[in-house]
Amino acid sequence: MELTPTQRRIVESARDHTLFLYGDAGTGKTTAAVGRILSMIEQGVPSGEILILLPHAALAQPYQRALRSAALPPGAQVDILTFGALVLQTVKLFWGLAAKRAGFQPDTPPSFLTLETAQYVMSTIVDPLIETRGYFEGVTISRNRLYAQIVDNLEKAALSGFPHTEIAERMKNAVLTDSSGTRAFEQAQECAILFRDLCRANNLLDFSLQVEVFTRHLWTLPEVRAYWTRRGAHLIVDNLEEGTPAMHRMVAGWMPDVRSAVLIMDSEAGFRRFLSASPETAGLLRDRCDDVIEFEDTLVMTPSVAALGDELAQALGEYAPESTADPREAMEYGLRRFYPQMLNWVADEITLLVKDEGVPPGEIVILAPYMSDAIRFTLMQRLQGEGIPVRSHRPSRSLREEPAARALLTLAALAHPEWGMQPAPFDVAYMLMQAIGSAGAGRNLDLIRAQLLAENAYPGETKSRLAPFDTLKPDVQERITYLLAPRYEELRLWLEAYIAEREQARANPAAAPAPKKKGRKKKNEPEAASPSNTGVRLDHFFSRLFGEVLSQRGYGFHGDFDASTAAGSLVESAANFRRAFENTKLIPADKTAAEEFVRMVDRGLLADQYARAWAQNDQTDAVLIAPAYTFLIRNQPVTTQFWLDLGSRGWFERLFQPLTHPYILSATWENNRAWTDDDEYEARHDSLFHLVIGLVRRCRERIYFGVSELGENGSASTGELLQAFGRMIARLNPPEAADDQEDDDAEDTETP
Amino acid sequence: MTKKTTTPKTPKPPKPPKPPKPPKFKPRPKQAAVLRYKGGRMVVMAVPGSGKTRTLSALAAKLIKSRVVRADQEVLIVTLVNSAVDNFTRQVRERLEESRLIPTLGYRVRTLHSLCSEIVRERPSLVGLANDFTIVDERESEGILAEAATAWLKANPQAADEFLSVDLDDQRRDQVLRENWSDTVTEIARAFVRQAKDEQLTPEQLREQLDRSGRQMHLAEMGTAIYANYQRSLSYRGAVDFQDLIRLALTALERDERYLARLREHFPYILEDEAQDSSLLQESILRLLVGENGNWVRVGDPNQAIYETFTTARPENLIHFRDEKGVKKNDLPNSGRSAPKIIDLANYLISWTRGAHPNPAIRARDPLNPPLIEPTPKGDPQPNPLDSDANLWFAPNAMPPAEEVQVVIQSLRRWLPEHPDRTAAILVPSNRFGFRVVDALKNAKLPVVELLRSTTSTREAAGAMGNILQYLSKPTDANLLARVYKVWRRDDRDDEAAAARMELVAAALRKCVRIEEYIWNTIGRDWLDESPEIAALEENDPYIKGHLEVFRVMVRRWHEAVILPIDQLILILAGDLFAAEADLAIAHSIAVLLRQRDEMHPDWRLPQYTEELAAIARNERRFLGVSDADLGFDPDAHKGKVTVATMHAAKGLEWDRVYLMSVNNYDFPAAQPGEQYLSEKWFIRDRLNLEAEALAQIHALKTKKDYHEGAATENARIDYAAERLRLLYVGITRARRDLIVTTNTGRNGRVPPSAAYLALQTHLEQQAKES
Repeated sequence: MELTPTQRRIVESARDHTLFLYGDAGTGKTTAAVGRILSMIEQGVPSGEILILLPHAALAQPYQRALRSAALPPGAQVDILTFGALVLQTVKLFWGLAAKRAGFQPDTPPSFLTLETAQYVMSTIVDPLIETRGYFEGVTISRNRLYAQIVDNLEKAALSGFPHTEIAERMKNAVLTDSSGTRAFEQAQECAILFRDLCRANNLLDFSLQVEVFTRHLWTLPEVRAYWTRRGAHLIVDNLEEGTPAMHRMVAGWMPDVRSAVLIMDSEAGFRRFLSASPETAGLLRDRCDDVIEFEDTLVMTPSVAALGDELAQALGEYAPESTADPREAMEYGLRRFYPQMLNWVADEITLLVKDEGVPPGEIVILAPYMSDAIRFTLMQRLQGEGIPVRSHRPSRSLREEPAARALLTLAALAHPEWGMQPAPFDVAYMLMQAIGSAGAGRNLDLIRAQLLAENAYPGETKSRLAPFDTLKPDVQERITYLLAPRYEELRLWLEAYIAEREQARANPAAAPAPKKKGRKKKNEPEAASPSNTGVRLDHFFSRLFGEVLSQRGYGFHGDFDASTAAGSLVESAANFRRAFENTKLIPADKTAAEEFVRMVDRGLLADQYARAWAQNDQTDAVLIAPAYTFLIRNQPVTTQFWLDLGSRGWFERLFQPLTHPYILSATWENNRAWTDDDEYEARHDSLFHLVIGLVRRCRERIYFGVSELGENGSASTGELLQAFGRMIARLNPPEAADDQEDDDAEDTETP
Repeated sequence: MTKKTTTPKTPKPPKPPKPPKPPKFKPRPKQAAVLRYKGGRMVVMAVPGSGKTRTLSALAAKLIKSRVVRADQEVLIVTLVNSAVDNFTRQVRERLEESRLIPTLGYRVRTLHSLCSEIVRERPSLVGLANDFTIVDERESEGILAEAATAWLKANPQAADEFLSVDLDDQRRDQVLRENWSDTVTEIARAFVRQAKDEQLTPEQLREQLDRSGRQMHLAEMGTAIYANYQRSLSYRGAVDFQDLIRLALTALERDERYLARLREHFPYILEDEAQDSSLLQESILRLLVGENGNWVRVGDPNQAIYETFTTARPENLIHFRDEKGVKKNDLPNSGRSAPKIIDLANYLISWTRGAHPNPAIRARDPLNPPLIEPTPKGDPQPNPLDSDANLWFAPNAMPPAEEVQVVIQSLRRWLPEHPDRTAAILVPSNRFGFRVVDALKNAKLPVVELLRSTTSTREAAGAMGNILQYLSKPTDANLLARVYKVWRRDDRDDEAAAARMELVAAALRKCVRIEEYIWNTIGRDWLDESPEIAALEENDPYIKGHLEVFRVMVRRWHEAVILPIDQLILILAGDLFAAEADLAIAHSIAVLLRQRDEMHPDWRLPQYTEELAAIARNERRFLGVSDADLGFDPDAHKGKVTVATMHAAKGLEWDRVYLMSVNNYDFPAAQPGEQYLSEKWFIRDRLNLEAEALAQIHALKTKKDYHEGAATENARIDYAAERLRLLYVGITRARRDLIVTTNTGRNGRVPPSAAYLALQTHLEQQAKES
């Protein structure tokens, strides 16, 4: 790899030095750090002593890629950890110490809550208060959001380092609101405190508690410090500006003990402020290092892209252009009336780029502030229709929107008639359609036959069990065909056997675990129910159903990657849910964890896993369709960018939630002052500027700007970015003298 | 709606067609005076057809081009309806296209709703909202309100006793309770909630006032309880309604003065169109945005104020504004739209109303005011049509409604073929009557364009997709499949031979009992090879199998898509059904809309979505999104056909020939004793107008004044009668050359012509005698 002189300096600098690298995105800081890691390993530093620490997982890719491709000695493994993972590992490892000091029960194991399970716990606190005491009437917000915000506030307090009992105080002092708004802050505070107490009583640790236990009770202990100093004698921390004050404090404490360190920070960034990212506290680490090295020259942008960045910055009121290159060479813009027209323009331009100009699809990205499924779907269809590979990423969506997950939930309801959840006949038909038949084989159960089967074999209201195929009317049997019948029967018998087993287990709970049957197990017969447990282990149920039936040849999930992924997500989510709550009293007495889980999925509370969605489609050379911030935090430049719908308000809108606030609940907020429009405007303006400049710095050659007069929902919108863009165009095309004059003449003349 | 044709798969990027350059705007003297505006407050009273949109957009363009408005500022144009937004946008854009600026920037045209929505969206947390708050549309809000009303009725089974007429016998009484009472309560609650929001009153405040006043106000009690329940339901959904948006926008501006200051800086000029329909809230919001010394141009015509019933909008407000200190005054009295004799008739209506209306209470209210309409001056680029080329006709007698419709049809049957290059419209007082007229015209095989609630193309698009969803929810039904086939081939209807084939194929499909053997022949038999109907068709049409093969492949794709989220399913259907950009845009909006529904109703499946689309197609629901109406309805695009519209919807439009129907005393009352009013129910005691009484109670609570039962009912009659006079004025001034006015005897056969009808008729007769 060819290195710049600055990069070389870093690779070659002394092994006991601590360095602080600072500069714009795309100036080669990460490359320098990777070079230094490889060189250290080459020179015999044990890889187990090198630790790469990052604010979040998506930033790991440059390191993973470099370490994969480097010729490391056998067995060498460099750890890459996020702050969250480090915290979790520490709490798990040192639980005995932590529990005693932090007031948990040391003898029972802790349950770690994910965001979803934390929200569930919150719902058990909030729901009764709303229903019996009319809480939260002052805010207009859906329940799921309400839970999420209170959980989020706890995290903000922990990460920013103020007591969680101070949340309402801060909000009340700063937010301009009326008495009902103030009341809502107090109610949210009350729920936060109740939540924390409930967690302590049940050994449940949400992320906020993990962080508090870690920072207050563990990181201060010599044995914990010794452990991490050993694993991270050589510490690399990248993208500090995306890290939280808690992470920065930890790194600051770590610095005296490291043998060497490279701390890296991007200027004009900090995109995850809503998750407590704090460029301010990141900057303080500069003084903890022996050397500060500034990176100045871009290694990504052509001069005209850089000039375009300067022009946009100026239009946003930031700084005057320095560049001499012509920004117009780096841009195209398409003004269309309707949204789908703009999408067509994008698809057409990409087709030309890929087919005529030979741009690799992987070098193209399509960005929008929010990527609705409708946009994603339309573009993917259009591009795939042209034979251009596309990949897409959305942060997460609720599990109930995954058809495969829905099919599995329908099956779960059918397998547990005691829940009394009778799936709708439509759901049964769609489940059968997905379950029976294998992808691409042309022998699937189609919609018509699935509907016929559901209508005749599942009379819904009367009972919720599937009827045997041979009890259907002969005419119906014939129409569904005998070809498909055996697979339906196998599925049905599997469900029946499962139900029977559970009935038996319930009738005879004291019975010892069923002895293993001798000889070969009959195909597709469920494994014996788990011993002494009439409560359902839904994750096990899903795994078995998937493994024993649905993934077999002749069934719909066989060889279907997407369906299997969704099934995997569902299993994981169900397992998380069960593990978190099986030893607590949080589940209502008349319900099982499994039923609660299904209910939560129905309410849209449970989402697909974030990291998984990334892992599966990041390899191919394909056009990426992604929300702008998602692209930014992946931190990988491309040749060509398409920005959709400049007029959208999403470009400069921060995430507003009535009960939380990224600035007021941050480490640097001065309490007792009001958050006014000036603050709001400045914050929003900064984030728009950082977004724009961050995107431009991740573009090598050209940006296409798409403008649609009417936005996605059909109404006009001229957001801040479009206005800035207009100012830039106006500046790049100065008026000719005649422009201003001629019309006034016409209008002022009092013609007869 | 255009159907997808088999174009090659890779079309070249379509270049948007360059719009033809508009003729240069040559302002007449009165318009030029308006264009000389530099700043401050100004009011412009503009008669119908005086070119106020052109003048106002020219003013906006001038301010932008002269760079009085900085590059980081915008001229704000506020108007009443979406179609006007589009009209303004187009006109300003056209005028900026010659400059080297991006022609969509430098100004913002908004309705009050969209302006408020933006004000709130910019700082949602100021008013307790998250940024993904939803706005429930009319239908959703109606549903929530109905639920709240039902809950209240359940809790208050005796409530009707207070209001029902004592004359009802037990049987009638039960009937009313069964059939009418719940609707009545919902209607009262709807008006109550709207007014309370307009007055910026929350349910808690009303509750407090009620408790404090110590008076028994049953309607306010009822309204407050339902209002509270309604707001709770909205909150729970994370949603607000249209009214909340406006209320919250005002709150946001009042709560953060820095925010207000920033918006004032951003909008240095505010141009307000249709200012006569401005509600109190709208005026307050604009006053705040303008500030003490800001620049505010208000253009309007108090004579065309037709949205006042049960709102706080009053045409007097604009007149009062004109009389405020420091407000410059301008008129646009010249109109080149109508022939002089039509202008004369409209002017006569003004003077009759002021001087000779039979009801002194109406005369005192000044429903119509000068300026009178003047023709354009000589040499004007828009000369008035000549009287010699114009016709005015009033039917001599009132007829039964069905006969009235037939008279109009007869007239059109003669006129349309002789005037293929002219435009015509039938204007009616209500949507309901409009639908009857449309049906009759269709039966008479006359070419008709509907401009009733939502527009034809939106409805067709929604209808087409609704039909397909319906089939997909019952994929075993051959009749539904046949209908889907006809939807796919809908353009064949225009060609006789193709239409015949379409019917034959549809008939064959209806006979396909085992539909899976056609669509999914991958297992087992193939209906195409075995059906005698297909064999018969094939004799005359050798390509029929290939044709049905194409159809089958498409239907299969739809089958496979049913498990996808609803928005994706809709987009797939749209991709197969539509080619025109506007249709695809409608489909995109529908997809987004249904996705929102899905989030609110996770239990919805295809039948519910089908019902939703059917509601749009049936016209029950005003669909928010792209539609013809939003794109601006252009009467001149429908020459040789007849447009049916309500008089309300016709505002701002003009046709060569206009029929005004049903100008009787029911639709245009004079507030005289013995008249019947829609809002005065026969089963309510003392014929009280409960909606009006409920609103009067809100007012009494707010102002802490006394409430006298019955006064509001009387007052509402006068307000209504006055507004209907203005509606008639709007109707008359839509006509360029021909105006035909008819009246009917109503449902009971006894409704007389309206007083205005008789007055105008007499006026014409006298003129005829004099000449």
